[in-house]
Amino acid sequence: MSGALSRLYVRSLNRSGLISTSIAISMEVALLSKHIFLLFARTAKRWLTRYQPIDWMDSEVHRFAVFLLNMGTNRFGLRHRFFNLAGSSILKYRELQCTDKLMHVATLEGGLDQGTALNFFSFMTHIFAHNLELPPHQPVNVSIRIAANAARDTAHLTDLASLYLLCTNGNNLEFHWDDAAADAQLPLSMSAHERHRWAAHRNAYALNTRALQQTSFDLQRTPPSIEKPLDTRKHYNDYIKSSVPGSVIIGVSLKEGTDGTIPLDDVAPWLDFFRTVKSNHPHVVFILLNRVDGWEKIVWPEYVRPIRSHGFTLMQSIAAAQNTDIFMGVVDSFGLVAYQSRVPGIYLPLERELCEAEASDEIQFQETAPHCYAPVTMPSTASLKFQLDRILAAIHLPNESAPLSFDDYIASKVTKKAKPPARSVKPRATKKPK
Amino acid sequence: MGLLAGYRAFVSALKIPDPDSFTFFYHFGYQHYALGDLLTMEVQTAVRAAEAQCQYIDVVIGLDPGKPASQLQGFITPLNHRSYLDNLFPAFLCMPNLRSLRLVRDRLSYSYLYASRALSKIPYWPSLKNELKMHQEYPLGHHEINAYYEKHGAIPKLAAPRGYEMWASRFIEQHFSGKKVVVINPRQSSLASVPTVTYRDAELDTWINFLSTMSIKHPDVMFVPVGGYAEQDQRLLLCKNVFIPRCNGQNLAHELALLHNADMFIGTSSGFATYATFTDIPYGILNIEHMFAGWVGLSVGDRHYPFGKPNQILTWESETYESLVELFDEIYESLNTKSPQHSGRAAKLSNA
Repeated sequence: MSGALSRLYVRSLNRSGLISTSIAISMEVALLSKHIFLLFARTAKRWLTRYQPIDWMDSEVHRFAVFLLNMGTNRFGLRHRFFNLAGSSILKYRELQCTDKLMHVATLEGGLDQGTALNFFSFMTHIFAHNLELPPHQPVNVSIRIAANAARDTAHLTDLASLYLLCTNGNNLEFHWDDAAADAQLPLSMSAHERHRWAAHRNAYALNTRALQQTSFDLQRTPPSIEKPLDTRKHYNDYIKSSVPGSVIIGVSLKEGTDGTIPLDDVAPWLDFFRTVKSNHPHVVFILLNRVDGWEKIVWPEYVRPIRSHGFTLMQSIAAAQNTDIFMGVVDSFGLVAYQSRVPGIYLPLERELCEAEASDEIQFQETAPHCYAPVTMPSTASLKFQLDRILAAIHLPNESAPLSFDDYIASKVTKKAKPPARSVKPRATKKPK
Repeated sequence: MGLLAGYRAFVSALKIPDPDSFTFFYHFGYQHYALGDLLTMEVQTAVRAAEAQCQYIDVVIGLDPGKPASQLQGFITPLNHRSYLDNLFPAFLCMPNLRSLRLVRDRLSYSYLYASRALSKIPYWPSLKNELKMHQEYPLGHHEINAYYEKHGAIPKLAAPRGYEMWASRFIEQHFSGKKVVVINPRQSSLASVPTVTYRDAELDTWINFLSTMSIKHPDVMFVPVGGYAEQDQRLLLCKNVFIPRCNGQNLAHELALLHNADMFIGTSSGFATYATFTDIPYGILNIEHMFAGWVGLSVGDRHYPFGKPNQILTWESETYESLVELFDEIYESLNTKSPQHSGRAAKLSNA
């Protein structure tokens, strides 16, 4: 539009005799050529960006491929860019070869046990970073090999992936069902610098339960970073606000079986304990973080919520463990994330053998959370209740008294109307004698 | 090291000798978080792998945490993409002949993996052009699958999610022993947190009537509704012949494994129906969109896919109570009259 106006203006100048016709024609040609040039430039840009999505501009290999693809029809004098980019991709690769930037690979071989593997997995990246004396947030790749005899019965692979997505330093995740093929493919997913370490690591990864468990306890000073995604946290908060508002939430986690569930029979003994606690602390609500097999067979009391049966996924349950007021249960993945989030509570060991190896009766994590207790032997109900009372007494409770029933509330209103509080009669001020 | 020598070293490091494998790349930057689309792509991949005479399939999932979804699914953001991925991840385990599965969140690693396949001349899919343009055409058709069927007389079938086969067998034996398991999917997207294509939703009242009739007519049948927890109506919980996996803390992997081991599937045209389409389970798929007919090589009103069996039935209209009962009876009779090998679960057991 502005071009057309300019041309009209030039013509009007010509008609009025201010400029000669030849000058007017040359000015119009110049304006037109500018317009054509802009049109040409826009078309060229559109053509170029068609094969160069902005998302891929950081990827040197794709730049390389883009220009290989375009080389045959490249008529815009950009060949020097092709050579520059090819060169930079090689430089980038060489840089990766020389640093530990890319990968550190951990492997769990054979059948995975849910009760322990989840625990290890959530901490795995951090544990290996710790063992390799790397920074806590070093990007880590995890490669899981599944033995042929366990290939058909690992009904918690998706749970592992869920947990891995929550690890802040989790870079890439691999599942391999063919050991030989995994070896062939491995060099691609790790830097050349790392390859010679691989053989040594493979043996080191065959760590036993106890060693890994112990390592996870040793990581008090540099707790692993488990993310708290907003959507899962929101889901938990919405659930609490809508179903049990204003309650003190105690997250409970029991030891799971190989398929990631706990049988109903394992929960039954705890229900008595929950009832006892509830009688003393009316505001308390227990949320059961594990999946309960056969949960529909009993009518759950209002103050016990098996949230996995209420549509919570594993990720959302992890968010619940991170945000509960108090945690109580074994140090599986729920326990670990609760501990990492400094949730006060009673942390029971997952493996009895590990506890028996400890000399003291009670480990107190006083440095990280002031009310965090981890008894090393499986406690009795009385002991549990005693410790829970201690924690409940220590944390701030909004209102410990039980809420009024509706009838009581109405009655109290009526009573107040019938018997208004007597006004205090102020004594008349007596005149002071002059 | 000169530039050329560096380039040669770079290319040789990327090359891997692996003639038996086919690689399937799924990048969420331009491909959808959608169960049906993903499962269809898996079967297309299996078809291409079979054509290329590859024995194994490697899956590479690309995810850029900074931009986790295509523009069409703008509601999936860096803040909530983990949940969407978590929900969909089990579907990748259904790939037939799956050898490895990689979830790659590092863009450079993904690029190297792709480049290595291209340089090593290992068959892969989608093509380099699709990857560079970050474009995938939807809806996905069945033309390649139909062509393969015409040529070979059979198509590759989807597997139960890897690792969940034994669990499903045990679970059915433990909870539904002596009963027929019928997986149902009355689509209720309007109840989900992000409703999509709600005109394909089922009339739930019809289904409730159907289920209450079946509790009397066929007490030996257990119905298993699948789909998101939010999509399960409260009334389904009250039906005694209904078991809802999501209310048992189970996820998509468990649902697909149960579906793979079920005796029958009846449900709206959706992701679960796609899974049933590419298995041996007898099924009835309801209310298929008419515009979809051309994409799958059918005419509106056709009762079977070209590769479908007689007890794998398609319908093109919204279900009514009568049509639902009639369809169920037709498939149920086929279970009883035909040899046990025709039943999905019986076939699995005999194969085992």
